[in-house]
Amino acid sequence: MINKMRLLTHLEVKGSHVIKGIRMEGLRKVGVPEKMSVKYFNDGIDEIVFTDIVASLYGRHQLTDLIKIVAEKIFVPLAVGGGVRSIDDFHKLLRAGADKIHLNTEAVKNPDLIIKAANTFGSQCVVVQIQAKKRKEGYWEAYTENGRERTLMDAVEWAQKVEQLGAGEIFLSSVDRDGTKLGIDHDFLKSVTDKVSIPVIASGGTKSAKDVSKAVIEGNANAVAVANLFHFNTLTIQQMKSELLKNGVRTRGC
Amino acid sequence: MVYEPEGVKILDNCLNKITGVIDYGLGNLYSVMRGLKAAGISAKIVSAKTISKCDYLVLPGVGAFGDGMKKIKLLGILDALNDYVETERPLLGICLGTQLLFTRSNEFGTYNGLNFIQGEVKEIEPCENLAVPHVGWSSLEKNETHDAGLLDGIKQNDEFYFTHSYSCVPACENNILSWFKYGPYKLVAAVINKNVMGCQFHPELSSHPGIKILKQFSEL
Repeated sequence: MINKMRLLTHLEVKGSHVIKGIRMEGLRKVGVPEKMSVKYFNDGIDEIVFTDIVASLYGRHQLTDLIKIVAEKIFVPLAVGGGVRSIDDFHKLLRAGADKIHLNTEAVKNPDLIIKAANTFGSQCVVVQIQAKKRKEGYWEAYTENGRERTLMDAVEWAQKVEQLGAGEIFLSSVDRDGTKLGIDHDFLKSVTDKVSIPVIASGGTKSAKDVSKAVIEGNANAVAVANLFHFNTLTIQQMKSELLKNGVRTRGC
Repeated sequence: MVYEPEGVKILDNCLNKITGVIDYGLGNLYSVMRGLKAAGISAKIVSAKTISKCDYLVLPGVGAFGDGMKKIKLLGILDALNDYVETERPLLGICLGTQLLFTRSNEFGTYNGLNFIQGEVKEIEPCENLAVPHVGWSSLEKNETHDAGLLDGIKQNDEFYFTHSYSCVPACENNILSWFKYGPYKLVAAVINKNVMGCQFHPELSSHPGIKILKQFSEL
């Protein structure tokens, strides 16, 4: 039960474009991140997540310049992830204008980074992304490298661990559902929210306002990140917020 | 509200007053600077030595109370802040910055704060289906016994972005500018004690209404 759900959007950036894949593969260009993010802010999005989807591959972080530009024009929280490996990366991105930093791959390889980052910058700045594939009924395996690498870890247990280590929020993605518009994996979401008390952001495959509402009302998601529906103009942000209200979910401005 | 496009000169507050944002190593300094810029204020980052030159002062903060006080003392900011506040110039705390204004906190131990406002900082108790930290947007319920001041023109349905696990509990209701509701709780959103004020929420991350509050601070 929350006051109002946060409606996020997620921009996956490759080079100078926002791309969208299906199940984190097969990328299509959908626009330019500077323009898209400012438009989403003006349209009423509550928070924007940028992920550099190739940084992890190349071992570097590309989005500092992008963040500097958009932070001048956007006055809601900005989160940035992709290839974040160190406290120094945190410093650079926060200085550039990010409010929160997303960790995935490095959090798994080096969980101490979660503790250190939370102690240095505050838990509010540390969001751990958990990407998972369903292996069998009731079991999801965590993945890293933007859905490419197996960890052999139980994603729900990992969620509990990251909370203990000091993460402020969890950004949960279903690799199976990503980009498919088949709907959020509600079972996975509930399995995680039943076990943690930090906010959980649901993402991956949102198909409709009803789907998003279910994630909040039944799944106890604190926030939902919508990509596909917005990037391909299926729904505007205001339409989504109105529809959510009809489904019993209040958001900022509605 | 229209934000000035790049290239348009940003004017300082009237009469060239100086707004300083304290850098004590904790906090989203640059976010706050950008928010002030959007409000038409060209703020400067200040340290212990330059606090005295400011006409308006902002104390940001993200992180833990104990760390915040430790750094403020280590960097010589404590005395500079006390002197500044004594001269009755306006001070605005944001998030952790607001919590530090209080007498003490029990976050990870017991720590003394700046004691500009009497009261404690206490943990938000987790309860069923209520996430802690509180991360989300809330509208404000103003304390009608106060002149609007900082919150002048803020409407009932304006919403602000909060991210915190601890909450301010002033000893005196008179120091509360506004509350907000979170689950079963009625918590404090903004506080004031003469020239010292603070927002638990982040005005610089609260879109148009938040920028309005920053603007109003600079016009007090």
